[in-house]
Amino acid sequence: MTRRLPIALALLFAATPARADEAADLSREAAAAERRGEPAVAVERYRALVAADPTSRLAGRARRRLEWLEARAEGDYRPLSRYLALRERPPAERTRERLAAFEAEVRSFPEGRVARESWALLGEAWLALDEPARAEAAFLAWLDRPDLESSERVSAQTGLARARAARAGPAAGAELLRAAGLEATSTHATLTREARRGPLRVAAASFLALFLGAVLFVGRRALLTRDVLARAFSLGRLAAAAHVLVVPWALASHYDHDVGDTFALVAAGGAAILALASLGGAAASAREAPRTQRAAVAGLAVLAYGALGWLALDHAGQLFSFLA
Amino acid sequence: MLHRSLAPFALALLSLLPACEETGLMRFDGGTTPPGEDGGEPAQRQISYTPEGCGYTVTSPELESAAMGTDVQDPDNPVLHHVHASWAGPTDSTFAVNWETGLRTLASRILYGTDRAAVEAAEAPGGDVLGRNGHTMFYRAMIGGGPGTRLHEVHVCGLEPETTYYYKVGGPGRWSRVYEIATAPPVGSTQPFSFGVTGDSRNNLENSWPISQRRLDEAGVDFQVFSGDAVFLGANQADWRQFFEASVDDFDVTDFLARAPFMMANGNHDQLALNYVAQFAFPQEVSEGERAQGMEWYSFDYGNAHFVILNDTVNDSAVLAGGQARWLREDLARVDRTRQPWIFVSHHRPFYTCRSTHSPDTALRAAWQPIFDEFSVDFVLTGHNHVYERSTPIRGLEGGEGVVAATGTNGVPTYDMAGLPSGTVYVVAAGVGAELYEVSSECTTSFTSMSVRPYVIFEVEGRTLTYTAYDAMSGGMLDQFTLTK
Ligand SMILES: [Fe+2]
Repeated sequence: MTRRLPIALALLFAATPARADEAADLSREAAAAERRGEPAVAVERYRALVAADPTSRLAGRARRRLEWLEARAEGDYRPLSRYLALRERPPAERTRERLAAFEAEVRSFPEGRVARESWALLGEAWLALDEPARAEAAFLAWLDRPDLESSERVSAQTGLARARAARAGPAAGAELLRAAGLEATSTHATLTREARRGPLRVAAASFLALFLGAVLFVGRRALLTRDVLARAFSLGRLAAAAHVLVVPWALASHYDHDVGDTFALVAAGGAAILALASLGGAAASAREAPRTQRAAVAGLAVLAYGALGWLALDHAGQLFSFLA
Repeated sequence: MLHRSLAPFALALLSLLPACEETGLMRFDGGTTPPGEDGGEPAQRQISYTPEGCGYTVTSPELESAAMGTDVQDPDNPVLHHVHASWAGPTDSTFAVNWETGLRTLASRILYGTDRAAVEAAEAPGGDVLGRNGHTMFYRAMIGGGPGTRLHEVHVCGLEPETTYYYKVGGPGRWSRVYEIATAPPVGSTQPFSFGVTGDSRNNLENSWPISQRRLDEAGVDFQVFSGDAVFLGANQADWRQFFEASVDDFDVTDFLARAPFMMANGNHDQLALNYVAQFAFPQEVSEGERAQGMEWYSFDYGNAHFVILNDTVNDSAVLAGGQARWLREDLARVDRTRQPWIFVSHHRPFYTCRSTHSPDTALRAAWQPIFDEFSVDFVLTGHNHVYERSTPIRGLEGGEGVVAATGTNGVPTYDMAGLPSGTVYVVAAGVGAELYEVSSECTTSFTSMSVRPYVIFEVEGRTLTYTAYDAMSGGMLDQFTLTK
């Protein structure tokens, strides 16, 4: 026994590289079979790999792939094979004709994971082809499957809402999610924000116009007199304005240096708002207008500045990148 | 509306607080003893040691306390979660694990071995089960940290290459469940391996972060390269909790993060905050101008590939073309391309990206591309724009713009006799959590682009590489090619 041990060890060491090569071969063959859409072949190769070299790194990977494949074995892997043939294809090859043909096949798939995942893939693929009505039908077929996991139900509902939004506008999509009790999803938040975007733009533009109108009204006939100009643009006011405008730009640029342009726009627009507010205030004083008019100009200036900031970030597409 | 416009200013102000530059946002409560540490001695703020059997030194950031682990368990709060693995040493013989527990737990041990049942049954090292002790850290994040954060980190060295190990962490009386992890093939080996690439998981919109991780886990990748922006605000501990505790059905992201090492680049949202630095173990060789105890930029080898992780969110932009570029050049000069034909670089902000939210970072391009060109880097993996983009092969600059290099079928590089590529392929693959951006393919250096939540899988075997990009949400393939050099 003790004399045989070194021989056994020597054999083991001699066998190791060959075993590693065999494992690598099996791993490669299995991965290639998966890519060709031949899951049954892949399963056989992965099983052989696990048996040949069970403690190796590649066996760990093989076990994970086996678990995934075996959970999708319904119909003797035929549905999986068809599903992979579509999934493992570049988007340009997921044409209307291919999707329609696959959809007809999916209707005859037995209940199981593959059928569910096929409807998910179809829904997204129809959406990518800008066919929201067909996408809606696919997501509804997915929702109709009896054995959905909870995450699948959410994904199917949010997919359906995105498809509805593409067809009938974001408010309609958001409404669908509300009806399904999924207001807490980020898709609902995104669709709601999309729906509010148009009205918010109008509101922001209205604030800016209102502010301009208020300045012209409050400062009428006195706006550009020498006295008002001198009072509006004192050195102290200019310094304060520069501080208020430049600091946000500097801070934002430090935080993320490629937002400089957006915040430079906010600073420039902000400078114009402050200049107008200052002029309006000085002109109102010169005209001895009621204090409430000056207060209204100041309040509208603040709103206009907020509106300007929102419009600039919205225009740059960065509104949401700053706000969770 | 107004408060929305002011939010970026507030955020920018936060990032300017002096504390965050070196240590993230945190507060030290002078005089109070960190929970669980009642030894009478003042708490040590930083620890530096060589883990048993390891050829490298581990240094914690400076925080409220850092000490070697003991066997103390928190009697009131037995929680043990956020278990995740990474590498701070050679990938074929080491791994490191980090996790979080109740505040008073000081136990920072690991039990490991190749026999799963033995590891499961063990309470202490013995027989086929080995053990190591790690260190524990405590800090109070300024935002979202509640009463504080108690972390643990342990390093295991001296392992066999190409082997599956089983481990659990914690200490007597409270262990995690048993996880599996595998060591890499030896450096230069032609054994096949695969890795996943993602980025910008912050905010976890559409639950796409755990969905992407489940798909990578199911694919069986060996490890993950993450191009930054894991969380919305690196100094906010609540954001990290969301990151580690994300789940979909019965899958928790740590099911994957605990078995497949996670190698990450710093993003502009992670901010190299203390929270980020404390929660991960990466190689810690400190070079000129480098912060975060050497974790700011680093490299590692896996089989016949070399990986470089860079940091493009720096306080002093001179570091990009200065200390970091010098380190990059020295690091790449050491790579023997006959043994390691593949070089992958990852950082956060792309310098080739087409008309998306963030424009290409041309300063970064000027600082780093000449080095990528000189050493014929194969792939550069970035994020920041939440889209999928693949560039044509690029080599050289003309007037600051990239020059399209010789291109094979499907936009891939061509290779010379030595196996060097005609140009580097620049990939943007991020947004498994962050809001989607628009993108275009109308730039001369852009080969393909899509507004999706992507992840990429690289399968490498010897001199052959298969690249596949997928949409995390539908699981559908987006882009694929195979190269042989
Ligand atoms: Fe980013």
